[in-house]
Order: sequence, then C-alpha cells, then structure tokens
Amino acid sequence: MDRRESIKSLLIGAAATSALFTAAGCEADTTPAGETAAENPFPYEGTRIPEELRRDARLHANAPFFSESERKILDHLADIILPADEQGPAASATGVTDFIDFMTLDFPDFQLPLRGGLAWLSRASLQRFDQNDFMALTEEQQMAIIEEIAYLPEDPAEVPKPEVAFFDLLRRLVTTGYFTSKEGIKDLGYKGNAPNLWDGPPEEVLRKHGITGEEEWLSKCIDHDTRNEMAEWDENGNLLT
Amino acid sequence: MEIKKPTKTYDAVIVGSGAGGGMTAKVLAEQGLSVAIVEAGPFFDPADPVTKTQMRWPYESPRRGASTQRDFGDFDMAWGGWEIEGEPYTQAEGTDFRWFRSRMLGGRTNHWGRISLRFGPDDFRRRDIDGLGANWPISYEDVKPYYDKVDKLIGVFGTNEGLPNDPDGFFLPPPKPRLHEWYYIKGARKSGVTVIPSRMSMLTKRINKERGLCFYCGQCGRSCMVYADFSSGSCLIFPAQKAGGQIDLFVNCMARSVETGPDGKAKAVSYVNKADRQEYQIKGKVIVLAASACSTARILLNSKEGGLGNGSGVIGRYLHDSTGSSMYGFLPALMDRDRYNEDGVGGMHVYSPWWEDNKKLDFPRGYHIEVWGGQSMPKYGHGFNQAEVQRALGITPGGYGKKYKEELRRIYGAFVGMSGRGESVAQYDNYCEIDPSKVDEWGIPVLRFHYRWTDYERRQARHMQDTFEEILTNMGAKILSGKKTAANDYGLNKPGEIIHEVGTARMGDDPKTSVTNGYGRLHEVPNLFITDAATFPSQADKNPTWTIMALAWRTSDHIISELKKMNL
Repeated sequence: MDRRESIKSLLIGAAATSALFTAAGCEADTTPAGETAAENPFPYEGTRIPEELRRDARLHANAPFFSESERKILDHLADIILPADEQGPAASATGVTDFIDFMTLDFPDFQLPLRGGLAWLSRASLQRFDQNDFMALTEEQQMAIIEEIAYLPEDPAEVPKPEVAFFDLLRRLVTTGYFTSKEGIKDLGYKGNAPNLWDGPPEEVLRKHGITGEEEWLSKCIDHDTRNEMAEWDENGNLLT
Repeated sequence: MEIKKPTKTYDAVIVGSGAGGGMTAKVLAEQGLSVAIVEAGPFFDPADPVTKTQMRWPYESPRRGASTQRDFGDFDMAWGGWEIEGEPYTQAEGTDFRWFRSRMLGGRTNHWGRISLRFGPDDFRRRDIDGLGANWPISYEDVKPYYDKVDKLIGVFGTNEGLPNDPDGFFLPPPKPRLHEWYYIKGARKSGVTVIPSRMSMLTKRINKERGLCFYCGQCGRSCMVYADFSSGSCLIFPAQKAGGQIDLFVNCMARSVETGPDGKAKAVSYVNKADRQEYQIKGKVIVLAASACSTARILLNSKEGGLGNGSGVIGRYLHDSTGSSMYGFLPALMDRDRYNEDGVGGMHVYSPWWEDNKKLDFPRGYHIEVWGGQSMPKYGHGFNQAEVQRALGITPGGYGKKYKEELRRIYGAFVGMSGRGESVAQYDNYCEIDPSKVDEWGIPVLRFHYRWTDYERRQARHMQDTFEEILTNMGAKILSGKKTAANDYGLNKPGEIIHEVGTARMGDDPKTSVTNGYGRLHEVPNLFITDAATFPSQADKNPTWTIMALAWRTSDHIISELKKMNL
C-alpha cells in the first residue's frame, strides 16, 4: 500500500472498525463513520512538510500495531468506556481503535502500558474464571474485572497499579478519540468551525449567569452592521466610522 | 527544481521574511528599491487551499491534531518548531533554552497569537526606573508615529483606555467577551486587577479593499486564508509585490554570513540553496538582517572571526525571552452550558495589562495576563483531565459507561485558564555563541545557548501564581493545575518557550556596549541594518511583534533618507 492509500485508509478506517464491532455482537450503531477523505477535496498530506510526510510514512509502514484479537478487545473496552446512548454512538463505531493504534506508533510510550494491560486482562481472566480469553467471559465476569481497574486513587499523588494505569490511559485515549470524531463532536454539541459574526454569548445565557450592567464595555465592541465601512479615525485615534 | 541564481546587485538584500523582513521589504520596495528576500523555508501563502489547515476538523489528522509531530499540533501553521531536522543547536551545561523557528515565507507571523501591543514610554527607559539593564537610545515619542502607521496599515482591534504605559492607538472595535471572559472580568475587578479588551491584529472591520474580514473561526494560529489576520506574506510582501514593488524571493535559501569588502562595507549575503545544496552570494548595496534575534546573531558571528560588527563583544549577549507561568481551573458555574458557537477570534477577547507598581514589589518588571477557556473545538487531549475534574467535584476518579460519558458532556466548556507573560531582565551572561564543534546540514556552524533565569523572574512568577489563584478563587473556580512553588520555579516556562527572544544585538548610543544605533544600523558597518528584535535592549511586558514592525518601518525610512543623502 503506498502512503496516499495508507493515509486514506486511516481516515476511512472507521468503517471497518464498525463492521468488526457489529461482528462482536454488541449493540451496533449504524451511523456511517469517517468519510472525511471523500468530503475534503484537499488531502491532509498537502498540509504536511516533507519531513512530516517521511515520518508519517515510517509510522504507517509499521501499522497496525495491534493484532486482530487485540483490536477486538480494544473495540470492546472502548464501548465499555463510552457506550452508545440516546445522544451518540458507541466509541468503537467512531474509529477510536484506529486512532489508538496510530497513536501507539506516533507516541511509542503508549505501547508498553497498553499491550501490558491487555496481557494483564488475559491473566486476570484465567486466574478468576479459568479462561484466558477476556472476550470469552460472560458480561458479568468481564465487568467484575473492569470494576477492579476502573477507578484511580483518590489521592492524585498515589501511583496507581499498572493495570489501573492501563485502563486510565485507555480511557483517556478512547475519550479523546470519541470526542474528536465527527459523531463525538456532534454529541458534545460543539457549534463552531463555521463562518459567523460572533456577537457575544446569547442574551439568555448572559442573564442566566448574571452578566448585566456592562453597557459601557459592550458599547466599545464591534457593531457588525458597520464592519464593511472603511475604518477612519480622527487624529486622536477615535474611530469615526 | 529550477535553481534561482542571483545575477544582479540589489538595492537591498534582506535576510528573513517575518515581521521585520516583510515590513522592511514593503517600505523599501514602495520607494522603488529593488529588494531580494533570502528566506530559509519554502514559499507559503495562507490562501493556498492545498496547504491550508484552517477550517479542518480534528478527525482530518490521524493524530487528531496531537503535538507529537508539530509543536502546537498538526493544524498549527508553523513549518518548523523547537527542533528542526538537520538544523540543531546546542546548550551549555545547565541551560535548557528552546529555540523555535518557522521555516517558511512569513516565518512565525503565520502562527503567532496576534497579540499586538505597543511598548509604553517606561519600556524604553527601564534603567532609569529600576537601575537594571540598559535604556533604549530612543524613546516612545520616536516610535509613536510608526506605531500609528502600523495600526492603520495592518489593523488591530482594541480600545483607547488612557493607560500610562499601555498607549492608545488607532484601533478597530474589539469583539465582545466570551462567557468565561466575563467571569474573568469580574474576578479580576474584585482583586483590583485591570482588565480591558484585547489588542490583536485581526480585521473586525474593513481597512482596505484587499483583505478579507474576520469570520470568527478562532483559528488564527492556522493562518487566515482570507488574510483577515496579520501575517507578513499576506499583509506586507504580497501587497507590495502586487503594487509593482520589485521584491525577488529567494526561498529555501539558508543565509550563512554577510560578506564585506575592503572598505568595510557589507556587499553580499552568502547562503546555501537547500534545493541543490550549493553556496551562492547575493549582492546588495544595503544589507538588512531580519532573521530573528538568534539567527541574526548567528549570521553576524559566522561572518567574521569574532563576529562582524562585534567590537563591543555583545553580539549574542543579553538574549532574553518573556517569562511565562500559568494556572487553570474548572468553573462549576459553567457546567451544563448552553451550546453555542464560541470560537470568536483566535485568542482571548480580554486581557490584563500590567497593573502594579514594581517599586512596591520584590521584582523589577511587570507582566500581562492572557485568558483562555470556553467551548473550543475538541482536539487531541480532550477529556485527559477528567480525573482531576472528578476529584474537584468529589466524584470517585475514573469510571466508565453512560455515567462517565454524561459527565464529560456536562463539563464541556467549563475550563478557564490564565497565563502570565512577563518581562525578564536582560543579562550579559544569558547569551548565544557559535559552537565551535558543530555544523548543521548546510555546513553552517550552529548556536550554543547559555541561559538561566534569575530571582527577578522567579519572584515575578510567584506573583503570577498568587494572582491567578486569587482571581480563579474570585471566579468560583476549582484550581486543577495546582499552585506552583519554589520547587518548580513557580511554573516558569523554559527560556525560549514563549518565543519572544530578543536582545542579541542591542541598540545603543555607545559603540562599546551596543551593536547598532537607534536606527538598527551597525556602528561598525554603515550599510548593514537589523530590523528584527535582536536590537531590543529590553523586552517589555508586551509581545514584541508590533514593536518589531514599527522599528523596521522607522529603519526603512532611515535607509531611504540616507540613500538620498548618499550616505550609504
């Protein structure tokens, strides 16, 4: 696969993840994921300088980092962390596993804790339930193991156990992966990245937060009705237009 | 690739195409001079749809905009960074100076914060006030007419407040505050901290027919495709070329040294063309260095044994960057926010200029406060601090499932932070020099840095931490970043990290203690000028770009006038 193809597949790879997810038999979300390469007429690689393209190519040459079976567990864990609900799809349907796979190559410090954590899951499964495949456990058994590692120490200075640190890192990556995906951004309700004429928070928001009596400040601010009038000043810097 | 070879002698050869180089090129070309710009990076135009990152979504980057590759993330418009492949620098023991370079036409003006502050009258005479460092050989009154012209040419929003050391100007109207900024305004007022609308160079109103107006995407760091924010290419170099100015661009050309003739005058710039790795010389009647403070020092030091124009021995000396220290918190009052577009301009809509009198404090120089937060575009790192939020809210940190997902929605846009950007005191012992043992891939000897903060900066950073804690507490915020203490230098950024490095070829009246005169003209080389921040004897608690441009314009006028008088 050449670099262009591999980048393209990285951008649309979420669709494949979605298929995997459905095959795993969980609640499937039907939102088609990640068609950014098709929608954007200007590819990401146009924004890269040669050194960056060379480095990206080296990373892609090593992908995927995780094996198929590891990816299945990651998909599953992603959906335990951020399941589907009324407002948004499950995390795995938004391409988080592809994202995490890429990040392990982009930032190799993630490799040991993630891979080590997955191995710990196998050991914990065997020790507790006589079955070394986490995915073969019942939901109840799986959740018993997850409960063990899902919470951090109350004291931030206390160093968590490796399996807890693993789940924390995975939780962070899943969270970032989901909320930076197209579906996650929609879920979050981010309204920007669109041309507009910013005119302060809506009136009712200001009222709700008790921002009143600020007419003096606001009188100095932009009146968008005059934005196309050429700026002119008097000699003291008073804007006349 | 076709190699552009210099064939003629230019009226002026300018090294660097950022704020200083761009302004110099524009003013000289408008006066009919033939100008060559030598730029170490490739051509860049913010309007080019292929290279533009503006309006892209995080999922258009495989790393969701993480900073693993580009220092401020995949979408930041800086082709370069603190480390550049093949172009290293070294450190003396105990130094960790960080040297940021953008290798592209327009340099760092393509991604900078656009905070456009004039230096005030006191900033030109700090030695008179506190006995430290050096006064400038020029005063605010000398520079004021040029600040005025820069305001009108480039466009800057703000308000005239009549503050003594944060002068008024010719401002466009500022945008209204965001919600968290209203909280900041109230919190700052309660502590007696001045807070006013920001002063930044984005067009909230038309100043000419050529440039587009701000459409409030909040992405100035990506460089604006409609030229609504300032960058050197879009606002200086391209317009000057379009108006018929003779500006030839020698891009991907890495300047090595200034060549001098037997008469002691500068006659050419030597550079390596990165395309064929061959050495060239480009001749000029006037040579202007605007390569950024450290690169300018490097070129001068590499031009001659002991440095060209370095009878004073201070080239490379008095290197200083702005100080930085930050704190951030979580505002429970902003939980469960109504969603609306809060992008605004790229950066803060309000800020605090220095409000105290240093005579009453245990550190000599001031700082300003920048505010951040709000419902910004999610990017890599979103949600990484959830455990800290949970601890602050008394929730068991960690978790998973629908409850965890809902928590993340509820706290979106409820963060607020502040960063101090202060003036450090220029020190003779903070400097860059040529490392005699190392060259870059172009065969050019590299810089070695020596830099340590003093207690002046540490005490200032302590004051920042105390102030931020007080304001955040006034706002009802829970502090998430902790309060930095003496053990970590009160959160002081490493030198170079604020990317305001200045001072390496300071101006002054005395050739024994300074490199240039008040016009940026080298005492020892009459046709060699500097129009970047290398000439700054002191930094001020303001971002340097507006002053770089005002001084570059003033120097350019001086060059024209001296040429007319046949003095060059």
